[in-house]
Amino acid sequence: MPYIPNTDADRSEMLKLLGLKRIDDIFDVIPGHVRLDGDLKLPEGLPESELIEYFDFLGAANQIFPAHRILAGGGVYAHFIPPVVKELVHRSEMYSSYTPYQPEVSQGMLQAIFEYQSFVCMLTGMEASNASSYDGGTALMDAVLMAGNITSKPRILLPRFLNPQYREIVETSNLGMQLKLETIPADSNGILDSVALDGELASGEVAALVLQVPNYLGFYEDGICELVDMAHKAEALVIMAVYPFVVGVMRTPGELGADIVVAEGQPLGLPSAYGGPHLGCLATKMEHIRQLPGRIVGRTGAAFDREGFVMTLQAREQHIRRERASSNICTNQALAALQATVYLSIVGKDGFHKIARKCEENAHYAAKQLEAVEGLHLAYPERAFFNEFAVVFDDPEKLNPVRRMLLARDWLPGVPLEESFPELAGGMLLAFTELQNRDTIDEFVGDLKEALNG
Amino acid sequence: MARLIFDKSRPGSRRYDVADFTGLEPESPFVPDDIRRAEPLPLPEVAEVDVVRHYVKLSQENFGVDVGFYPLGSCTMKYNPKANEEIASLPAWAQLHPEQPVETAQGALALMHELQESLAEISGMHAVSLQPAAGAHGELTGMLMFRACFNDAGEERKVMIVPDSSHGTNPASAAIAGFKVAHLKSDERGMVSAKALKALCEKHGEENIGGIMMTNPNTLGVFEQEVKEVAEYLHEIGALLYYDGANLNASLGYVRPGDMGFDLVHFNLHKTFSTPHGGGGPGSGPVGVREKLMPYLPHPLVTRAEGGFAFYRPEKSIGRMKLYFGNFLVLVKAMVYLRALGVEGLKRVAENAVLNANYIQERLKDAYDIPFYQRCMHEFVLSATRQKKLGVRALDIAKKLLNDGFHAPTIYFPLIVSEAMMIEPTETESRQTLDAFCDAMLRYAREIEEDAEKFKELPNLRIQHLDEVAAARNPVVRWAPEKL
Repeated sequence: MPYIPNTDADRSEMLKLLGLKRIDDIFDVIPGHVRLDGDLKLPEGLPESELIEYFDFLGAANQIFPAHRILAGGGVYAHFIPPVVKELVHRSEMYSSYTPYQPEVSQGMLQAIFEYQSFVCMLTGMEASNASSYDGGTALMDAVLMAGNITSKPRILLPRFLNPQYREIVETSNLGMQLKLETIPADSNGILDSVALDGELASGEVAALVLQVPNYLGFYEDGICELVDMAHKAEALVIMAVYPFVVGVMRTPGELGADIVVAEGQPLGLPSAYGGPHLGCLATKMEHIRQLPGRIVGRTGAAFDREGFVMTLQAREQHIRRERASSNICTNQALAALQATVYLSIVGKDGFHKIARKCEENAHYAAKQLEAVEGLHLAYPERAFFNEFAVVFDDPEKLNPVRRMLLARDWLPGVPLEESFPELAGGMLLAFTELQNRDTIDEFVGDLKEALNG
Repeated sequence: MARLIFDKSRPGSRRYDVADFTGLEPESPFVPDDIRRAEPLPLPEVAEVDVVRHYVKLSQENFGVDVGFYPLGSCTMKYNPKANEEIASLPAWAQLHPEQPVETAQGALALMHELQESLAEISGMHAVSLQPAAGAHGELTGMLMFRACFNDAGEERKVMIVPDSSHGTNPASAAIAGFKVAHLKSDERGMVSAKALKALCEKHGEENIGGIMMTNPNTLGVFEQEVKEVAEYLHEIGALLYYDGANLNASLGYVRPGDMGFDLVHFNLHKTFSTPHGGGGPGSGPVGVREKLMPYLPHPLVTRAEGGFAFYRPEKSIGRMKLYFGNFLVLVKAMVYLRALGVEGLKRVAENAVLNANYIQERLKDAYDIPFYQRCMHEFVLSATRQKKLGVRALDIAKKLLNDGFHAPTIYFPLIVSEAMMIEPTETESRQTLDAFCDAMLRYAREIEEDAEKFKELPNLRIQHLDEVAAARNPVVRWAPEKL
């Protein structure tokens, strides 16, 4: 039997010590009336050679697109991952360890998480980061819960163009928390309705205004600094959800006035992986650290004048405070945090900057070419955007056939928008990373034109 | 002074090539003026070879299952088969984009469907959602489903019962879902007694009871003898039963939560199903439910459809717990493991896990106190009270084990045992390894009696006695450049 080292001789001697004869005697403490009668209806085990064959067979039913032909984003982006990242994350001393409860033998993972927290603080302009949340969506849920606890106010304002899955995660978890979730509408130019925002803030009941930067449709909300000011004047917190690479060209959310920052860390060296495991980044100002959910690693002194790292502020956590804990999180995404840490170390200052610039350069070149195509238009041509934007087909009926033709030419087009945003019928998102160049974009635009006219 | 990656930065030592980058102005022409960055973000600049050495060095300062015996109770630190890793990292899975049309991801849906069905069969449930990202996330999912089910029936049912031996995540999850937590005292066997439960429910009003969160075997490693009576009583008063699957390893192929009367179960794929724990995740905490709760499962679920598989949303779904479909690559690893073991392999896992735990318990039972001594399942809890009287606490014994190349057991949990050491060897350890561990523990018991102070010396640990009080009082939680 795979993975079980005891021999029959071992087992019979061990049973003898216990005064038992047969191996299943060991289960005679299970009352007979709950014991399983017969065997589970599952297949026989496979030897490794056949195992690999079986999963190759299953995997062959997935279509894998060349990375530079993936124009789908919507929160998950096809950036290049240097081979060294995978190599280092596969150190089994790291991946076969548990949450670092015993710091004496876990300094490697603890230091890596401390470095991760430092990177997240640099990216977000915050002062304290947790060791990770599950993903960008659950990190927003954590942030919303935090804002409710910090302010003791009941209302949370969500922007119109928030990632629809983020919204859904917050709504679902709110079943138990009973915060009031309100949406700030936007006008036909995509600008958030400041009158509506003012009205909500005037209630004095707003715990937090959530802003996504760039928003789900890829553009920067108009007048972010003014929106932040309005919220702060009403004593509401500002939660910003950001795409990490935008900070390559934009000031940090902290510099823009955010109080809590969340991010989906997948673009930082994690494969798209059909949506997970990804990485939830969550950071805040030092004054709120005791409301921050999840593990936190701190630096401290040790015997012999040494210095090391420990999990700290555990009095916030479930294993100490039980039902009064700041969150129920236990296992988080430590290895994904390590992966982002290694990735940021590898791309470094130079790479991070270049990747961010190349992403927006590619997207803007593509937008310019697409603007000239008959039969489609940019959804919000006046809004400034980063690496992703929405296009709308003049004839919404064209969307599906065009997408099919693009798929047939090995392009993965972006997310169709109508289901979440009915006003954008015939619309889809297109995302660009550092992996395209002018030739690939020209080829895409050519194929799209043909599909549109075909 | 621990050298951080940031301390190793030297300006200009790392150039990163992005294809076709030439001719771009450093400053973005596209970002609105009021939010534009003036200078590149000051990330470290470290040559690739030095980055590699830095993280290889860190890995060498970390203890994993691949380094040595890891009897951390309740955590099921079994060996992580390398086939899991190899297969999950193939492009067919790792490069799949979640926004792909389902007809281009049929392999992934087939895999998820097979895992849903397998977990349902293993647990005796009717349907499974793979979405939760970890055990505690599964607990929250389950609690929200209980809440939705009661809301639907127009019932308040505010009280959730957890035994005093339960995992801390249980009450924390219940509280986030809006339940008030009532703790049930374990009886003299360390078990939930139907009589005590009934008394507690009557105290809070039976119509207010939402349910109970239990593990079985429980955190003492003993099988709850009255579980069927508990289930019958709670169902009679309209309450529901939650099964915390942290300890499922002991039950595989022998007993199923559904047959014990539980309505909902969460699995820890990073424990029972050998996907690695990753130093604290990513895990995966699918939930399985009996028929009554099926309409409330989070979406999307995978179902058979004409010519393949499709996603669907149950009619009264609580919504979505996580982006997309869960920690997908963890699901792949769990499925690889299940396929490798098969129906017979799962039973061998349970048998050997339980045998190994009982073997250690039997060898240590005279040298240490075992407050609830009886046949255990996959783990047991001993108490260092005898040693404490000589001046050595469970913590000191744990550190001594670290000093000697073992990982420590879980200590000071469950809370109902003083000086607790919770030992779970798992099935992937040999008798030789168990004997080495037992020999060390028996030697410790003697050394403590001879010279408790000398016992506490830890000559092999480079770093020890980390100042946790100072860490919490003045938290230093990041490195920052002098000028941001």
